[in-house]
Amino acid sequence: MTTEVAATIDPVTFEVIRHKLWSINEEGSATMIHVSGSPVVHATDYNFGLYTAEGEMAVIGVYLLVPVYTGSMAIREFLRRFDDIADGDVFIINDPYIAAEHQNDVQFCAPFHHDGRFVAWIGCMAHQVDLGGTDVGSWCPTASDTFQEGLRIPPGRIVRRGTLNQELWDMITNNTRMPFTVANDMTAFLSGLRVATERLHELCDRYGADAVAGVMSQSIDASERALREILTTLPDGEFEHIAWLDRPAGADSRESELLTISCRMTKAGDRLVFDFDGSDPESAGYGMATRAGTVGAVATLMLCLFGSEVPWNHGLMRPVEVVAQDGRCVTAVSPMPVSGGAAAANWVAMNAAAGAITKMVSFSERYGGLAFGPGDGSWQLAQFGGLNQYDEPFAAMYLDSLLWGGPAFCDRDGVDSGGAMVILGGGTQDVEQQEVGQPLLYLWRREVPDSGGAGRHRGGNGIEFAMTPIDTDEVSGVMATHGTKLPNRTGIFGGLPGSCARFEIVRGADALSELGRGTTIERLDAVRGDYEELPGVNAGLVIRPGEIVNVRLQNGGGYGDPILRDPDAVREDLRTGAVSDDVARRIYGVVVSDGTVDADGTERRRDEIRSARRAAMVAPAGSPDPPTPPMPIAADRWGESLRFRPANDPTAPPGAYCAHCDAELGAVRGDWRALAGTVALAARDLGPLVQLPDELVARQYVCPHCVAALWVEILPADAPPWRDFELR
Amino acid sequence: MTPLFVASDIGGTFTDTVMIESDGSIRRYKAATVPDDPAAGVLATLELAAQDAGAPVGDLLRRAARFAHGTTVATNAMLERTTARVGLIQTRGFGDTLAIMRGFKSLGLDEDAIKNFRSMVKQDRVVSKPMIREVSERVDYRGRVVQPLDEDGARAAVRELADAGAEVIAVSLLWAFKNPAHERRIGELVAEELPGVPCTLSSELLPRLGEYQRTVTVAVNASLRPVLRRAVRSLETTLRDHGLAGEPLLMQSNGGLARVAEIDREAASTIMSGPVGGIVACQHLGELRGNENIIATDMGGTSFEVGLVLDGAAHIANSTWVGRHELALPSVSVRTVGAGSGSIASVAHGLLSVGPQSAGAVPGPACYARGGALPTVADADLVLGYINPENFLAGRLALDVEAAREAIAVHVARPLGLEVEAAAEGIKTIIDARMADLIRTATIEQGYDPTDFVLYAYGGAGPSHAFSYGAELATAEIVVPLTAAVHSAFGIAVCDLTAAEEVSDPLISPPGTEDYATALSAAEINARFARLAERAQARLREAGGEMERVGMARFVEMRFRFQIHVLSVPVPDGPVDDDGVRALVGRFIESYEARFGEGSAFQAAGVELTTFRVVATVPTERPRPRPLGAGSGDGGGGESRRRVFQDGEWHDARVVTHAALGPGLELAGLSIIEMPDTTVVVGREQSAVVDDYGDVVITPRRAA
Repeated sequence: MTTEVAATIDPVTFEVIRHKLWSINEEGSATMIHVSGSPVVHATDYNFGLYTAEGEMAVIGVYLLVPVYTGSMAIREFLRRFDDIADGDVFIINDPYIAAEHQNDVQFCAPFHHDGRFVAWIGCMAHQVDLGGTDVGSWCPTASDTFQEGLRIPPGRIVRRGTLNQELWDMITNNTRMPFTVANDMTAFLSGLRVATERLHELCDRYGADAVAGVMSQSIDASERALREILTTLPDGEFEHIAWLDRPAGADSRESELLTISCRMTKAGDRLVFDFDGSDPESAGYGMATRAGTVGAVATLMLCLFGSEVPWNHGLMRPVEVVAQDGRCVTAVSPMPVSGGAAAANWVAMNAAAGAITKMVSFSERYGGLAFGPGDGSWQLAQFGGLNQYDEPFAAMYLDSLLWGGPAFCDRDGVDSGGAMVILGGGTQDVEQQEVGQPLLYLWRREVPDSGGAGRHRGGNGIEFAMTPIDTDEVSGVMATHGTKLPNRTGIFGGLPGSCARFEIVRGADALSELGRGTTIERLDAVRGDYEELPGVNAGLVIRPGEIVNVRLQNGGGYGDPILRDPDAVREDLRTGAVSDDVARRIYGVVVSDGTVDADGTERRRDEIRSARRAAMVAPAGSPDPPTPPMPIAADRWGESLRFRPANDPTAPPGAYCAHCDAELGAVRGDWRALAGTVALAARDLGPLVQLPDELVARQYVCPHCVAALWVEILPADAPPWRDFELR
Repeated sequence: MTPLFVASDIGGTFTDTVMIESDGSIRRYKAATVPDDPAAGVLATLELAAQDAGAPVGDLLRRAARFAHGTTVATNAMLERTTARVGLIQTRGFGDTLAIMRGFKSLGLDEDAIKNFRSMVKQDRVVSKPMIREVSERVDYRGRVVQPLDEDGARAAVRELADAGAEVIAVSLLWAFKNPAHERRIGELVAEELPGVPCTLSSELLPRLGEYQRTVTVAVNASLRPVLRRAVRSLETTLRDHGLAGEPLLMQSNGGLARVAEIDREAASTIMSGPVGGIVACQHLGELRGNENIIATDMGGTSFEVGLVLDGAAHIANSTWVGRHELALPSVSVRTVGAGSGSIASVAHGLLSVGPQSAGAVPGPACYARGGALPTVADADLVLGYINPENFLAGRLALDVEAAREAIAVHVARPLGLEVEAAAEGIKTIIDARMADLIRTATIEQGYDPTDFVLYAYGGAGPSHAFSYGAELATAEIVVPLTAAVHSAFGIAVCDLTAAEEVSDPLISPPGTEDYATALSAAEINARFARLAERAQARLREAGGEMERVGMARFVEMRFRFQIHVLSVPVPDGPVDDDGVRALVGRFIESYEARFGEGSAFQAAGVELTTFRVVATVPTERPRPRPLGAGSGDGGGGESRRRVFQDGEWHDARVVTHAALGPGLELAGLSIIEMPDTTVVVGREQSAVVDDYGDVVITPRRAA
């Protein structure tokens, strides 16, 4: 069908319709956000999309991306389950075991018919502020099964042939602490769908439903073709990256444990397979993700990584397969609790997948620039509830947690305070807007120096925000995250990780009185009270007026060796306060006096760093015994760490060379790291805001000749060995 | 000595000047803008006028009852970063407000850029961190002082900023619009420490909730003050030297004129002065022609702009964009998309796209033969026969048809396997559809039905494209004004003196309110309007307005509680009583449902009146444009015919020169009118007639 239609649409009409579809999606999206009364939606935890009749993503909004793909999964489930789908129906689902990240993410999908023809689907989703469960806000990070979590809505119809299913509607509003807001959001969904439906009718009236459907499917075909062409230019092989999720070892435990999440990516020809089977099994506790959340996270990564080269749509997922058996921590099944996992195991899986893809594209001169370290580390849930200053119940999730720094790229620093990948076009609200709605007074919302990972290009710094209750008796809080014990945002090609996540509280404080007396409070220790660093997962916190909670985010990793950063860039970082004097000198090796770079001092300091690396370096392991045959590598580079010479190069022996000094490292026979020297790093070498508990080690792989950093890893001391790449 | 109304629009490329005699006859002049010396371009147009009149410039200026102007000096200074160095003072803990940007790295980006994680970065900060100081103080959401102002710290901050090179100071504290005491005190300290240094307080410029936009706006305003002051003084001096007696007036983004002294405090309010002039001109012409609802469309070289006139008044939005910065100043609402005659066409992945990249004036379209080799919309227009290569800029620039064909052949036709003409028509179709989509966004998507509107088309390229982009929306008529090529200047010439005042001082009805009159006090509403009206009138009085003729338009920004987005609802004249409150809420719900659909109103939540605004206007005495009179087109220059490529084939088109243009002239089917400063096209299925004022009125579908 697709090819028949394809022949009839000329490129001009194609472009006209394509842009009109984008405008229609924007209008549906704008209508939804205007009508919604939810601060979460206003702060962009939502999305809107147009899908083909078969449920493939054709046009995608730019806000929370994971649900755009779960929308596609939902539609395919509706098509599978129901054989009486009709004009005027609107379907609903939030069942995370089928097609959602977690119960909060309610999706509405409307089949679009024109003159009796089933043309497309329109889908929208928004995070609902509350759908019941043990904790206000329905993220229940300490739940031990799904029955303690929010309402689970199976696939079904909220509107049947134009008539609202009032019983289901009431059932939902009866099961939320915030019926006003949830009802308003569902009204907003219907408004957005209605507007987009009207506009699609106008478009089909003018150009014909066949042309509209044809443009959708042709766009997807074109993107698929383009991606397959790109993949064909990249080397075949396996690429592996392992990442870890830290969480409390058990209910009420102050000890933490690490879950392993492994991604082995196989690339053959024009196909990609992401295999997560090496990940730990599911277990009741914080962080479990469903298959929908994990596949949606992979889709997000594909959109953001290849979307800069190829138009965004389902074509970017057609060459992709995600393999994972049921019951891993990234494919949890009922009754595993998953409400808190919307942004936990699946994000770590996304990080592992990002690592694997980065290791692949870095063999390409043309596409090597797409490489970046993990775009998103953890969602630092800061959810508060209680009675607001108007004596009304409130439940508020602070989207301020989205304002982490972005990853560094080969040619630029990460974006500071707002570098998120997972909500590409999003952000949060004004402090004043938050304060007029919720009984919490901010003490600061500011960028944190040194919080982005150091590198030749620096990871983006993120924010911290501190608040104290005001005009209320107390506020209850749910604060949950991973990444407090180890950084999830690793650097690449010698770049260092960004800061760890942190929650802090000062109990028994009276910040309001101290402010009233004129005390300047710029740090938590400026207030009298009991300071405590909170664990990663906290439910049922009680915060009283004058007590302070602070949320500091985990941030982007660096790109390349920090001592190769342009000293003038470091000077500018010092001037803007992005980097501290200590880090400039100690990690970047840059000496600045009176606002200008001391070139000689900088060279001396960088030599000292090199000498220290050399002194600490464990020599390369060398070839395995007995030697395995050299890996066939047709590429001439791997990021900015390695260069390769082919077997037929008359000027030099074949094999790997240091990309920095061009010294010969030898043939790659298995793990390339066997060719590199290893330097053990201490926590302070990684940056002032990175934790490194005893069970973890940090390794810097360096060129044994010039000691330039080639890669930095943080991992459990007993982590299984893996190979970054194994080309075929 | 008969009085003369003179107005100039100093644009980035051209300066346009319009002169209206007291009998209503209009003359229009165009000269190149001199970027470093805005007065020079104005003077050049005045010299053209003087030649025309056979009298020295001085005679013309001495006759000027009023000289008004619009200027892009503020916009250009922002784009070229020649604004003054701002020192910014903020509440402790919130000095990173500008840098954080609420986390939105996507602000101000278009469709393609916003999907590009690889290259998406935030726009430049309006003030860099080293020029920001925090002071200890805190006010809460009710306006209560949580922490007293640290005056010593504030004084030190002011001095540090001056030492760091601040030329102007901006102060933006949290909740200052609720309680301005701390900001005012800092203002006093600035005056003491840095006498003569301009200082902008957020509570005075923009008493509105939302610290990010407020701070951006305050900082930008501060940075523009010296720039605008210099430019305006230079113009004033030049004009006075040449005989102008009065004080020049300046166009504001809100659609009214103001004295230069006023504008000095609110420099940022001139940002949209050019585009706004065009919409005011439409409003004025609409009055004459009996069009109350107008879609005003301006297609220039790099962008396409759409504004609305609703019920005879220019539609005002509560913010405006400059580049990627959104300024929270009320402005005549103008939507922009990067579609103009210079938009570049390209093919990628076998798909044709046009814009938003533009060839600009340099190197320009391929047909300018100034080094541009990429195909643009202007090249397509030329290849298709819409534009006469000998009639561009009144014949001052001969266009190279072969260069245009070659550029389209190489970059579009061959990659797509099309003939050059088909490729050129494809470029035109795409750009016209892009513009129609923007009109749709500005009308249908806001709840307005285009069939209730007349579309006005102006700007360099609007008159030749409107027959196409205008037809898609099914408006009753498409009007190309006689002044199309200098439309903004014309609008400025006929504009009124205005003063706008607003305050963010919300009134709230609780959830479940049945009778809004019991929850929202009419007395409170009246008190707010009375304070604003008094302030606005005082400003007009200072400006020398005739106060007995002052008119007052009043608006409330309203929303359902818990929602963010507001709608501006007009309030009729006179004191508001209980019925007035009910009617106000009724109008709000009505326009809300018109925009978002029946049943979408969130009444259960209650409503909030967030911001109150008055716009006081003194209508200026001005001549009505004079009907041209029958037979004013002498038919000189005659008619000709040429081929135009449309709908896939060549057609024979009637070509009329401007000399033949006279009231009553009728055109049916494919026709082209060649004016000295633009080209008007009438489509194949359309007809057109020239009205009494020389405007070309196109009927999109020829009556059967």
